[in-house]
Amino acid sequence: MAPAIEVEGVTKSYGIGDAVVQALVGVDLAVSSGEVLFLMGPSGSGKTTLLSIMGCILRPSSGRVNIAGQDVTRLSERRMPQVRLERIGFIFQGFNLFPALTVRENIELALDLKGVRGRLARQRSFELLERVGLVDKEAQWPGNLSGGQKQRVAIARALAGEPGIILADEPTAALDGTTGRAILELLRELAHEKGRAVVIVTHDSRALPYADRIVTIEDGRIVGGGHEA
Amino acid sequence: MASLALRNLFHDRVRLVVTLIGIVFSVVLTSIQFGLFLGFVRATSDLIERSGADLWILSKGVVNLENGIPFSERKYHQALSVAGVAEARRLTINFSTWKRPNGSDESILLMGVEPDGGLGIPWDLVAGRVEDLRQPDAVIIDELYREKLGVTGLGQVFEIQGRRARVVGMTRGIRIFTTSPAVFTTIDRARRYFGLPSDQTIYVLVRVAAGADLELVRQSLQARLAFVEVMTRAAFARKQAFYWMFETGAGISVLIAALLGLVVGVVVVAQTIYASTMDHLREFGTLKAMGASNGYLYGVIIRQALISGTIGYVIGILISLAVSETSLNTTTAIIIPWWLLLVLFVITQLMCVGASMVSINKVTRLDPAMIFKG
Repeated sequence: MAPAIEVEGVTKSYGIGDAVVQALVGVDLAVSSGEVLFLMGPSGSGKTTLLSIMGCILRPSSGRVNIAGQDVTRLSERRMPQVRLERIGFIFQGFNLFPALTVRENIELALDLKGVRGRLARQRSFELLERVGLVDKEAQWPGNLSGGQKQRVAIARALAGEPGIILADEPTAALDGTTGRAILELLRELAHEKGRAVVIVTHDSRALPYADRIVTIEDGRIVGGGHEA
Repeated sequence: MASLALRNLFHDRVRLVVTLIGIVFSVVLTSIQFGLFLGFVRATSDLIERSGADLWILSKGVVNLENGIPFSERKYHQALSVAGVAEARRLTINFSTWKRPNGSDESILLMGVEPDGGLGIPWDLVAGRVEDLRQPDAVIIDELYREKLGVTGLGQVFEIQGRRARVVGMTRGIRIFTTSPAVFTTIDRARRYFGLPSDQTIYVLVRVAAGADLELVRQSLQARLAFVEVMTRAAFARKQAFYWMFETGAGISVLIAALLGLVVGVVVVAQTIYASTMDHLREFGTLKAMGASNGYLYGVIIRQALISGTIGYVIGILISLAVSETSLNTTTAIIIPWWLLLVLFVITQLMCVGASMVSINKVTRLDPAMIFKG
């Protein structure tokens, strides 16, 4: 079975001429379905760039990216959002909820992108909120929720499109230890129970017990990784 | 998703108010400026448009209504004999001098009309009747210029060119672009005031018989009458408006002000819509990461712009219409016809959508790292 994400010889550079910055240099990485992979490294090491490339938001300067066996490197600009929509769910450090929408509407927005609307969308958002334990908060504004609750809503939203891949950028950075662990536990469940590939960028060493594998990146190169946590 | 556009707008009331103020400012500025322009155009040609005449006979070389050149009354009689002419009336128009009660002089546009006819006579009377002009020394003024002329009521006596004039009636809304108020009297009295020979007139106004072809009658008159020009009401009105608006340069400044209003409006709206979109840039980035197509993002941004534009337009136009209504009590009318409302609606929406295009460009070029950072 093909890995959920496969990155082969990926290089990413910014700028031109003397001002070129190599954000990634010859990165090879494969993430399997059902696996929780932690991407660690100091600030500016290229973690977010790699996450963006795995999430089909950025294109690599060279190399190849396969998502569920499909080479997405040369997909047109029109097709890239479709791949994200169908295959990938994002979770952000700052939650990135829409403050003008209620909790339920935030999830329905993700469903709307998939063309799911009306009663079906309401039913599906209810199921997702049930999954993250926030059914009673469906009519709340994100601004009225705690950090942990916001991140749960963000997870529910990321799951709305039934993606096979979850990419999370520092999902516990804005949370206290207990809440952060609960979120990581939830993400691990999503990986193990539903066979999703979960990639988490984090600095938080307390999160390490939740990883199946830890990859360390420095100066755009993978310097440690592949080993089982 | 329409609700996202709506919710984004109404969630931050302060931002919405700022955006709407920008749009309202633009709509009011543009509509008032164009309304002023139309008001001036109407003021230049209202005496022609409201004359009731289908055709105007005037000396060749006349470039504007107020500076007509006298010609023999014989042409008036000749005009009456042309087939298709139902009615013809003489009319004199001259700048003259009105002496106010305090002794100061005021320039007026003295209109010598035939009160028995239906052409060239004053309209929209709010006091007195046209027939009252038959009384000795009678004149009719417009109430908008009462203060300017020093008139406090009917029956008051003044002097025109040193001769007695008594106010017997008042119209409402006969505005003159030159700011010299129109004062109506009989053609005989006007000739005396101005010293025009009794066998001379300055214009002949013609009403064409029902069923007669206007252009054919015009051509017949033109062929029959030498050394004069026969123009349709519309053509003479256009000539008059063009003269004052463009040949004198007076209207160009108003038109430029109107266009500047439009440009300022575009800039203000672009700035406010852009700022509003920038406030939601992170959300658009998130949507993009979630798999929203560019079309979806454009849809949200454009809908926000259109909703803002519509609300701003409605508020702006209500303000402009109120200002326009108030202006009807002054000598400077701001005229906002229904077609201008439509044009301004389209312009406002184009401004808003155009402004949102700048934002769209920014959203399209979003740095993905910005989406991920907390």
